[in-house]
Amino acid sequence: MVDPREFARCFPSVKRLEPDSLAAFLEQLEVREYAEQNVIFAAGDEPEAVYLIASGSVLVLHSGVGGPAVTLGRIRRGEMVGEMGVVDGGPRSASAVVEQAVVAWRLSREGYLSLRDEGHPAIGWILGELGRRLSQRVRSVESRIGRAREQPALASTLPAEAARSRRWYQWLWPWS
Amino acid sequence: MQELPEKPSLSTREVLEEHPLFQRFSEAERARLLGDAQVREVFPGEAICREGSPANEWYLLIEGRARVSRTRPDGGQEIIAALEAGALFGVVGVLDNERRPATIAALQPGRCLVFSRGLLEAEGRQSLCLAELLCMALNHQLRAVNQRLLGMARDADGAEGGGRDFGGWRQPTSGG
Repeated sequence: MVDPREFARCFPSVKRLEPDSLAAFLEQLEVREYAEQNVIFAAGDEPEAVYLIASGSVLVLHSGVGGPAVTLGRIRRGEMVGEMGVVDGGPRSASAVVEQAVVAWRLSREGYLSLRDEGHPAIGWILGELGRRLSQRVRSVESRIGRAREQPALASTLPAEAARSRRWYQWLWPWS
Repeated sequence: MQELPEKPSLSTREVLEEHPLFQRFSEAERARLLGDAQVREVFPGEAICREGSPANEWYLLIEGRARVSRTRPDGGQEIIAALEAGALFGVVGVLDNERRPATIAALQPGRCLVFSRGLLEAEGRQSLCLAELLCMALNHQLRAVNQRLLGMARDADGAEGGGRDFGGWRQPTSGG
């Protein structure tokens, strides 16, 4: 069983869930550990789970078939990786490779769909988190595209600081 | 005035019933969406939304095709994507309350459903289906901008060479 206090230290907004709802959600999670350079999932894989990072860091890489490798993002403690495929069911578009040894909480796609289909309160929190992070990433990549127009070599370069988060999720989704 | 295609058009209700993104909505939720939406006919070259304008609406292209273009730093226009019937777009700008980053113009006679910001504010607080739909729209946009970034990286790599090895994966030569 995942410790709710430990989970809430990584994902503070989860405190807005009622304790029973949080407990039911945490029951769906499995703890996974990965060593440096392990591949958590590879481009083309089926989207079997989303990983909520408890410690360490993960690089999201496009592996460069027919072109250069591109680091699309660096995921750290308190962030998620693999959420895109879990939401839309499409195959992985990039690979997740461990940069620094990782402990992650794994929510399977079946677990996500099960929570969603029963209208579980935790799904509102998950969707709020996903929406916020997806919006951040869209803006971050758009920002990189803008910089790469000026300096093409920057297209492959992960910026030091991602685009700042927006606040829309706070008025839109009270669960997040 | 140009005529719409002779192919029989689905009603807007049928469009939402058959659209994969709206499958999980209840009939009442779909009715509320349609109660807010306006149907807009568009003709080749007509802008559905313009770069730099306030983002107060979001759209579902229900017939026809459209192109997405934006102004280059040198003042010219570049086409960055094409949209097919069924595309949901304009969501990120509404959520972030920012100006449109691109112009979307019809390539063919068609129709789109125009939804208001107010609908998101009213329904987004209650509807998990709408929250999931927004995540899917964001997902789709993220996949699209990632592809654009990778295309730019490929172009730059052709001009300047590749990155370095990273445990079997190639990592860009700078970053972080």
